[in-house]
Amino acid sequence: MFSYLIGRLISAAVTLLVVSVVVFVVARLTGDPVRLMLPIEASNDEVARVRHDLGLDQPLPVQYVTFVTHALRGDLGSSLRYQQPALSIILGRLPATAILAATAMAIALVVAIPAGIISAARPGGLADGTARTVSLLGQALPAYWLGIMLIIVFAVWLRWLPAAGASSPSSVVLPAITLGLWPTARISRVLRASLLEALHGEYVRTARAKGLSESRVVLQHALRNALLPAVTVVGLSFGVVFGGAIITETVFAWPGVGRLLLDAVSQRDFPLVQAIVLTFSVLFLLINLGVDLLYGALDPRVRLS
Amino acid sequence: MIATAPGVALPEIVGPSRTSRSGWRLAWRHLRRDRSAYVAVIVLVVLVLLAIGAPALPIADPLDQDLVGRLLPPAWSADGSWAHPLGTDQLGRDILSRVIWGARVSMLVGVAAVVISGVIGVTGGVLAGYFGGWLDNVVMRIADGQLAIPFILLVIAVISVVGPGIEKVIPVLGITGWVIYARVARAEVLSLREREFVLAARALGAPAVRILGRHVGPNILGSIAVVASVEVANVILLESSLGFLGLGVQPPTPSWGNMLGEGRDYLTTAWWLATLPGLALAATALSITVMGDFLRDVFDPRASR
Repeated sequence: MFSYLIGRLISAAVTLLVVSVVVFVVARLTGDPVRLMLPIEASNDEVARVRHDLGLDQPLPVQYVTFVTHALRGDLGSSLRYQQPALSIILGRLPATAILAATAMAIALVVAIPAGIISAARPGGLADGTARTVSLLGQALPAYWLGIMLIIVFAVWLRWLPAAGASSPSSVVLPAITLGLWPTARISRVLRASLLEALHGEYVRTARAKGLSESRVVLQHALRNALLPAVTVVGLSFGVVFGGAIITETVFAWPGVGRLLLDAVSQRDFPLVQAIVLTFSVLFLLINLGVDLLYGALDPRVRLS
Repeated sequence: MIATAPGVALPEIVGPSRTSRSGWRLAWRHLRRDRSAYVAVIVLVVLVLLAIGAPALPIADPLDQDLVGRLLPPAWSADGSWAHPLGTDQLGRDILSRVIWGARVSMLVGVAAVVISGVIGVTGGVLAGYFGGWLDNVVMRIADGQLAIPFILLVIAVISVVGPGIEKVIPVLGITGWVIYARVARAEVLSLREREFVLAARALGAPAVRILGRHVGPNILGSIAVVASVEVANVILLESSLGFLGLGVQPPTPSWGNMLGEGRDYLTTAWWLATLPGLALAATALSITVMGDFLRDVFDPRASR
């Protein structure tokens, strides 16, 4: 287990390094961000001064090292608009996004696990057909369009739930359903497939031969083995949920990091954009590392290979 | 390497090709039996024909404004008229026409971006898989690093730097979308590399370019085509999300995404503005997904279970 742990940590560190390079390259795509940061009428002297202040007159490798060492100390630069450290602005908005993402994932798990089990237990049945159609729709429909449809039906026509904002606890319902649709579809699909495969295993035949009830065979013998691929997908879904949050937060005017990102983009607040991308990537990486470790703990075969 | 005498051609050794004519005939036979795939293909053919034929169709100009006839509902509601079958938007523009012209934009972006990603990804993946070693390491680490950044976040960050518009969105989606092709191509090449016909070609002294072009290339096309077909749907959805956020194709050019974004401001008064382009988008994405599943079942029966 220890060498597995070390291996995962090293590969996460390498990935993080690549992420930092990608973010750095994207931030420098235009060549010189100073021109974009300053008003058009800024004088050449002013441009040179800001460039020097930001260290942009240094060679690129030096700039990269500065960027990484600062990032490691938690200094992700300052927002141009708010004139505050980018990280503290992001951390102030993170709870709202976390609540939304967690609710969406909770909905996904509560719906997808029973749906996957029922589908696999009776493949080809009515429940399976319904679940498969819904999961196909869930993977293909644009989430923000679904969000708009939910607003029209539940907020505008029926007036059951608020359409936007985060003023009451019920505000989270529509955005969480919107955001939870994709992971629900994905998780139930993977769980169905892996459970179907597990049910072909010899130990399942043995369990059946012993005369165990079908529900015990499915829930206690097959499900435990089928959960592993589903765990991976749950981890990967977090990335999609974080990404999807950007759009969902815009549709529902939810005051999270996604909205912050779009505001930063429209205000050309590049340091803030860069900091948000880096923060989200680190979060996503940590979640996947956690999933990998969980995976290793659940399945001894993973540790050995 | 064995040097061949000038004028002596190497014997042709071509491996079994999955994309041969009989493969397509087989696909056709399967298609006639799979009802949902059949419907999906018909929907796609109709959409493509509408998109290509838009200039020749007897529909209104998508940019023609009519400030008197603003926000007309679709023809089937009480106040609608058949002059505008799907109603008009906030500037009195014909929605049917805009949806059809929007299809052109969506499909152009989808296909063009997929071609760019496919070329970059397949090249990277094939080289990484065939030559292995440090090249493989570098390509795959970059892929891992990029995957660690939620995709929409990366795209938004790049667009925020380079600016919106169709001429920016296509290359950005094209360049950032390479990872999945690289992974699939690499995996295929890794297994093909050890197959007899490739070993034989190598033993005969065929140069790497020839082996990859004649023996490996044709054999990975099937898998790549399946991935690409599904990716077209993903890119179309992504482009529409960008359009919705105001970062994609810029008005007045109609795209499904920017129509949805504009329609969002009229949810309470004119539901059809956001609903109808979204339906077109959902139908396209759904049809491509169904077709992609079908193609995968036909070309790669192992993956269907």
